[in-house]
Amino acid sequence: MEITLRNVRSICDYQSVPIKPLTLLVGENSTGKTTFLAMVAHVNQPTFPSTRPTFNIPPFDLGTYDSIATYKGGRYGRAPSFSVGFTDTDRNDERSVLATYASHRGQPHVKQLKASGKFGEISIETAEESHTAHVAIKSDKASIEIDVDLKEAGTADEDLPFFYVVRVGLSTWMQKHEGSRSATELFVRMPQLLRWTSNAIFSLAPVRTRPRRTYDEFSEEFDPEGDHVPVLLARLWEEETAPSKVALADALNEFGISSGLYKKIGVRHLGRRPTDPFQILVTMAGPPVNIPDVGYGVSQALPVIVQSILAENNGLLLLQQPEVHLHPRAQAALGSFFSRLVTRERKRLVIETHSDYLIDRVRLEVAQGKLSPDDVLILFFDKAGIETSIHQITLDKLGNVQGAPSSYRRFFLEEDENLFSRAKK
Amino acid sequence: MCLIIDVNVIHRIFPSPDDDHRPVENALARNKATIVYGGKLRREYLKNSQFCKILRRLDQSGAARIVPDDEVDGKTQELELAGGYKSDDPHVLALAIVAGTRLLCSDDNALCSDFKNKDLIDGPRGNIYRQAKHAHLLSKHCR
Repeated sequence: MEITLRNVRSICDYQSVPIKPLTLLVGENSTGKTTFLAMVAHVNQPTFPSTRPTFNIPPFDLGTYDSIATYKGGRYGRAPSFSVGFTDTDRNDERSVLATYASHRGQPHVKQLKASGKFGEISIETAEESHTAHVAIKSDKASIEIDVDLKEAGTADEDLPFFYVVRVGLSTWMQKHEGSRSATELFVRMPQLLRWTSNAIFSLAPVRTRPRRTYDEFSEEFDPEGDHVPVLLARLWEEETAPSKVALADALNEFGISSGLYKKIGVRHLGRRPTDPFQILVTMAGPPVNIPDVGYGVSQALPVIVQSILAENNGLLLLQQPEVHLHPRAQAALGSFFSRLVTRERKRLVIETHSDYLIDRVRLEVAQGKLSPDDVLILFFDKAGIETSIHQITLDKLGNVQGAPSSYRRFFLEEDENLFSRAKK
Repeated sequence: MCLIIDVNVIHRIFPSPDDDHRPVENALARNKATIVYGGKLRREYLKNSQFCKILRRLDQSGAARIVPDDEVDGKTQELELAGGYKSDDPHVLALAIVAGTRLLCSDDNALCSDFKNKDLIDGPRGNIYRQAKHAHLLSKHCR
């Protein structure tokens, strides 16, 4: 998959950026890494592309149009539109979708949408004031233009997936062209260009929930800060021999030992009913202890590990600084853990990180032949002035860094140079 | 592939370069040059713990590139059997051949002579960096 962005915060020019099974986002603060993650999440939403999307689904909070569209100041001012889209190259029927947003009462709404694929292309222009969409469809069978009244497709303020808008438009058109074989083919094929085909997506926040002495709330609903993870564990731990529990316990213990964080994770139920309170127990050197009584790193790593394991195969995980609060040994172990998720379970991860240890371990996994270099991509967010360039850095079979620009890690090299030269006058 | 740095000049480049080697250090610190290492040279580097810290930084930034030991060691053995070199560093010549690197930073006269010997290294021939006036070679062989 490739993500296309234009005029999104500091990402000014059109940039088309590939996503590999293990994509690591690196760069200094405020260079656009989290914005990029938010846009990856946006184009993977089941409703994308839709008429009135929100860019504020937790853990992301990009705000209103003014805080998303590029602001260059001076005579350039704020960009009159911004674009977000993707090219799906992973499937046989390659397709591209690009939505261009303008401001409507301060909120982003889709002004123009273009989608293309094997069977043709769809171009949509919306008029927000009149609540209409002009849909132009070109395929090898026919070229048609339809005006869709969005109020007929839904309520005036409703966020409507364009897949649905096109279906509604084509239904009306079909009524006039009943019996036409090409019309039926158009109706079946063309909306597919706008249909959600991604796998489940999970986005975890950089700050995870605080550990509690006793858990007495029972929501299993996914929470970006990992609030649901203790409940998931408690539920699974009730099922002694369930394969999912065994797999999770094995993976958890494997990570715990390799990271040096713990030997075993367990659950202590404080009653017999499923709704009775429980505690999360951590075994280190001695007997199990309650999770608030061990280092903060365990409780911060647990949501990342559990959610990553439980995500469905081929699922997409967006992680922000999973290394937070972890010792370098555990940061390195995360690198091995993520590599295994990619190779064993074909999970896809986009990870924002500042951890050299995590990245170095990924390079080592490649050098040891445990992870294909083709499955790894480092995206370096390099900000010069107000504009960010996203550089693609790859690895070879020995984990050597390839294609790094001269600005990559310049701070570290110059810092070393200065440190070693400090005795010189 | 850009540059091989002989162990005998490491102290003249890192941690703080002398005037003749400042261009080399500068090019590496700005990711405009890449050190190539592997085989016996890698093992020699590992004995210098201070340089290892710097090498790690260079490696992380893409300014150092490791070449498989077995390929370098294999080529070294071939050279040892064939002979025809004056220095006691066939592993450096082997590294240059395996990695395709044609720039050597060294002040070992015998090795420099071998490196420029087209019977040993050719297509293209090797160049030697010894002084600041050789800085143009960095542009020629590196990014």
